[in-house]
Amino acid sequence: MLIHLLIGALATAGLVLLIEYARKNQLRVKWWHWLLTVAGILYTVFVLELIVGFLGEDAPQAALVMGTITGFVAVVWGVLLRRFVFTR
Amino acid sequence: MSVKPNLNRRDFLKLGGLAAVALPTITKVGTVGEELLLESPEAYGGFVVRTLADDDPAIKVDEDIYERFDSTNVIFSRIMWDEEYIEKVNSTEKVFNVGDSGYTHIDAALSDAAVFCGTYDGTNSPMTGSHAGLLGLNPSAMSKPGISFDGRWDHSRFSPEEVAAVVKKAALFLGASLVGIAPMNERWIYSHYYDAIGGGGQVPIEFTEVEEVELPEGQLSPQDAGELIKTEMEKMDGDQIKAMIIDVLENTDPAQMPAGAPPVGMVKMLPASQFKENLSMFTSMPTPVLSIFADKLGFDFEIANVDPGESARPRYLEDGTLAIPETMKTVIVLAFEMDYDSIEAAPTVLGDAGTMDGYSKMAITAGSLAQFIRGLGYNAIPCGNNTGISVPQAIEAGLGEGGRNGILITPKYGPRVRLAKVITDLPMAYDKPIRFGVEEFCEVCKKCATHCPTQAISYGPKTMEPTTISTNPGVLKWSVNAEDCYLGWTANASGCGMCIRVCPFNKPEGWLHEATRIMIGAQSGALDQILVKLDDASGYGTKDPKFKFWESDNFIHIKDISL
Repeated sequence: MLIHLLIGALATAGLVLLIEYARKNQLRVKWWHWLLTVAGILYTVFVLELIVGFLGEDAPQAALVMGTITGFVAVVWGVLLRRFVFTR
Repeated sequence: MSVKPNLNRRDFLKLGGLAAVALPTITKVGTVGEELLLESPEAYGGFVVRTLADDDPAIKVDEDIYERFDSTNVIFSRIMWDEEYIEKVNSTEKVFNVGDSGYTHIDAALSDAAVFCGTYDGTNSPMTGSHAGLLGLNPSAMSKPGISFDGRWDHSRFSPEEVAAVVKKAALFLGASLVGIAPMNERWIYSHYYDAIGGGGQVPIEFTEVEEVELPEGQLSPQDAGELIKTEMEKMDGDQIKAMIIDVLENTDPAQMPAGAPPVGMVKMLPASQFKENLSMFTSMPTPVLSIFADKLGFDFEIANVDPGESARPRYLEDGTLAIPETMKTVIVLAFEMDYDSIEAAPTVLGDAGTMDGYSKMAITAGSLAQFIRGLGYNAIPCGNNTGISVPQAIEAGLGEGGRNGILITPKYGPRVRLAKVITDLPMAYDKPIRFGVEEFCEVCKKCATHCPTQAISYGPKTMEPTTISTNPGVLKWSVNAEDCYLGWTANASGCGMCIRVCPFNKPEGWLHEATRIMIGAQSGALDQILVKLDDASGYGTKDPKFKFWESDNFIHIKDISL
């Protein structure tokens, strides 16, 4: 249960930090940029929950494989956001 | 005065409301022609299943070839009589050492304990023989004092769907994980049972006509005599009734009392006020007991030794033939989930504990459900593995599809179930067979065949050809070589269960596998191939068993204790 709260807290903190970062650097972030950002964060939450779920099922190899496959997409998503949205 | 059934329609609707809440909620999510697309997390896991149209047979049978299967040829019977095969079994080398993981003292004790009820008092739910113990044809007239009802529950006041809902709710309450109802297909009833325990050998199972029996003039049927006795006794007060019953029971040969009848000592302890409500418990006793009641009450009628209702009841004839009355047209099929962590240890004694536990649950629940139906005034035959082939009946009852490993694959638990059935004459609505992508997936997967220790599972397509005499020809299916399969059991000194453990449909419950289930439901061979590769890559269904049962979070942690 605690792990789910922790994931939720991390996701919220990530979003707050991004808002702060955009404000501090006076970035021009459009509404659909925020939509993509929130979707990316939700997807990352899904990846983390997937890994935690497989570990809870005592299937570490499945956690590694599925975490790698889905995590790769999350990383690409993050890089694209960094490159095209949250850039000074 | 006994209590009459007075449940009115409004009361029933309340009950129906409860049943609807408590039963798995099945949602129709679409239709394809006559077929329905159904979804239910409780009944079907994450799968969307498709019901078959009425003209689409769930199992393809070649009527020119097919004959009812003789359970004398079931492998568990053959190890009693087939000397050539027995020799093979005896020369099979063991593949383990006592004390190995999965073969410790506590593993063996657990497995023995797990099957305790499955074989208690002659029950033998794993075997294909006669009905005894908890799975007896009529184990007791009444075993619990309380309110008793006369006659049959009037099912005609309710729709067949409502009756089915009541029966399903009772089955789930009594311990079934899944329940489905199908018309009793005589094709799947064995032609013979093999009476290994009683020493009777090969004995027929027949469907018998229900006859009206004419009583000799001047004689009363036991039912009519019981009614007269009851009417007379209802005129007495509680103390008088109690005294008379004790008097009768003390003058009755215990051998003539039905099994489960309350002993005199127990009757003496009951308060006198309870006897009026329980009179039918005593006035439905066998003829010799009724005759003593009649004498004590001063009746001069003779009670016929013929039971007019006998031909409507399932029974053993004098030569041992199991007679199933033609009026028993319904089969209720029950599935019992086997413990995931235990099956993960297959093929070992610890893995077998999950299977053995299933056999106990089969006996308890099928026996109890049969007793529930008898309590409603109808006939019921509780069956474990005996009397009929379970898998095709489960398919026809909409519990799942047949897999490459020769067993039932359910949407919710995959192959990790054991099956029991109750044959009855209580009319009710039937379920429809379902499809959810098993056939297409099994075509490409073959993990069970690859990992089978004795290579008893076919890599080829479905066929109507038998592999050995333990397979029935004329049914389109993946046939397992039962001879090779059982040699694997012998080598393990337990069951096997490898094909259950490695099956990709065998997954714990939870949302993690929902996406996979949706993709399997798409019934695409190419997608299925990717899913099998992902299953392998994720470390599921490996050749080696996992011994996490005693360490699982579901149980006390003993990780640091050497077993």
